[in-house]
Amino acid sequence: MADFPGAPAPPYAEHSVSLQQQLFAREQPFDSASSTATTAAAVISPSISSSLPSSSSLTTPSSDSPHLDILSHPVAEVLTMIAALLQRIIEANDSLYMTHHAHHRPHPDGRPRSGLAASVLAFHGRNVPAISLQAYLMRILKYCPATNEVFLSLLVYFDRISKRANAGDFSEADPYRPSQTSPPSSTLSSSSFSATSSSVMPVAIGAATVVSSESMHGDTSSSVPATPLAYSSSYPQHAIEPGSFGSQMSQPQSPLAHPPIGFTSPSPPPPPSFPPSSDVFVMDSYNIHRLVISGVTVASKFFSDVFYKNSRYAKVGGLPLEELNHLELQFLVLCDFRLAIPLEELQRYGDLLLQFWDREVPAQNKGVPPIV
Amino acid sequence: MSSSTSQYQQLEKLGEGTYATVYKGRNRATGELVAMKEINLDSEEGTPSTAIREISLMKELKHENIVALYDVIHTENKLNLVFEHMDRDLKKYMDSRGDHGALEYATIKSFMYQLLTGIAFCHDNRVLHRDLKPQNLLISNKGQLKLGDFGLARAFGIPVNTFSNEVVTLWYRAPDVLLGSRTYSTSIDMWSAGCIMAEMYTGRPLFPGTTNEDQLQKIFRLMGTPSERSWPGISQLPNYRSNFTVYAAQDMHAILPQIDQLGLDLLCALLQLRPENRISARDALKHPWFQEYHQPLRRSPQDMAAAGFMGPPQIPHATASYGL
Repeated sequence: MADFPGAPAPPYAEHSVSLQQQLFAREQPFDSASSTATTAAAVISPSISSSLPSSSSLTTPSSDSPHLDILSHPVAEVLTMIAALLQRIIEANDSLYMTHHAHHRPHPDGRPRSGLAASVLAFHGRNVPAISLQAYLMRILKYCPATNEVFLSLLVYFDRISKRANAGDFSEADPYRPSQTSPPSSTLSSSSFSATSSSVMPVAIGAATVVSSESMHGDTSSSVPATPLAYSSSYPQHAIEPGSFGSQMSQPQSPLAHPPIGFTSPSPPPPPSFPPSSDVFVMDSYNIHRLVISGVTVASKFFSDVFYKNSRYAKVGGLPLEELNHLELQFLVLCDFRLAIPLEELQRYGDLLLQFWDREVPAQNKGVPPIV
Repeated sequence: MSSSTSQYQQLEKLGEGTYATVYKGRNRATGELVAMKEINLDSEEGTPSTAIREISLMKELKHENIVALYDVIHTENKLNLVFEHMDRDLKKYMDSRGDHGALEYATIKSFMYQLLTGIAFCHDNRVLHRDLKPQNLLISNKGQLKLGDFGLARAFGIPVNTFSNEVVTLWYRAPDVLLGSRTYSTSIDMWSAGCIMAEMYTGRPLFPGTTNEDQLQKIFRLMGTPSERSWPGISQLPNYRSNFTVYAAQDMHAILPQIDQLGLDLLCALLQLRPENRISARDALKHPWFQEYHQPLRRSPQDMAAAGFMGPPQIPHATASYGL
């Protein structure tokens, strides 16, 4: 996919964080990479994701590496791990945007979007939902139960979307595409991430469940409580573009995916220079809930013979049915309608998730909250 | 250029299913005929799971014995799947034959080989079709057979407990599934293949049951009623009854007098009651009945059919000649 499959993990502090970086972080030579921070600016948007398959340690984990039993590991625990991982990512991306990208946060402002960017933007809410990710996932598990396979697949899909959307897989220039004045926003790993490797970032798990308890207070039946998420929606402000996928999507990625070498951003240091970014898909607090509920809806229908109507997923997810229907389709488009996941790939994500959990989350934060 | 339905000229309606309408279409740019499956997106249900599975799985399954999915075109309330056009399905093909739907020996063998090749490819790629029946096998005028309709298909990998036993059209549903098993795997498709093979010989469905019970009874009457002794663990299956009428297995030759010994041997291997005993698609392809396909020349069944060695005779252009 990328032109630089063997490129080292770039050490920028300013890049948004992607799933694979978090999951695969320890597989990468971060320490050496961070020491080359000043020279790495010449590296063009190398994607860790794309360099991963070449890492033999990923395909053949050593015998002592963690192994997630996808079949029988308690789903609530897996969800807690997934919540911690996603929380880590969105916190990093949120703070990144807060400092540098505020004016560039993708926001439905009526400008026409093209290709995958329009689909990505559909997930962006105007507000951050009050319910924590952890509580949100537990709520989904309670009212729309699904297997580990379904929930783990979310990580695979988010990564695929990230790779596809951020590779500049567009049929035409995207009006939203960050201009040359924008700071880099990419899926690249960051030195800030490297820092978190040594000083572990606390993951807020506990407090979040309060919201969920409140929202579902008094509900002991299997009926779905009223919608607790009062987030306003970006739907339906952007037009859907029929045929934003299809034959053109299977063509080699457009040159837009690769910014010119040596481009120097005028944005403030540090680091002194950035490659321009083509990041379109960035998971943050504004879109993660919608991505999760849409992904669960789609994955349940694909993987399981047991699934629910969209009206139920919408109610559980706290958004209008019409919006979920729209997002479901956008999610499919972003995945290029390819939902099949080789067993080995799913297992790899499961193992790396467990590894992330074991190494990155302090023991005191590991309590699995009860399913409220 | 974005894909849009305007790239295709919509021709006559080919059929209407529960969740989709299929039209014949023509690619305006190339003139190529296509089949367009138009799926309405229901508000309550959202995108049908059948559509999600069919698209996802067929995008991964590119094979000459599987109908090709060319394109997916979506609008806010419709999905259009663009497939390669095939002339008819096996059911219609059999109905159009002279001898009460029964096919000729060489045609049966060619179709079976292609069917098993398509199934083997699915299974190699960890996909269960779960709805094999003559209506879902598409036949071209060149004698090619391709698997279609992957709406009930699913990927198998982690043996989870979320398999439904409400799969496969009743007549082609395996006894273990009828007995309520949810842990079935590739063998589910092999039973269907056996039923289809027998049907090609006679022109009639082998086990035309009316209900789950009746279906089991029709199977047992021919194949013999299984027991704990012949099928250890059968009594644990949800729909097992200790008072099943006990039938002795019958001689298949009585029903299929036309079949040769090797063909019968393969058929019996496909129609094993116990799923564990059913032959796999890969092994079935190696069966001596297909001996002529195992020659070093490795002609494909289609080639042989086209060359008139065997397989279906050229179909007269009475029903489908598109001048292409």
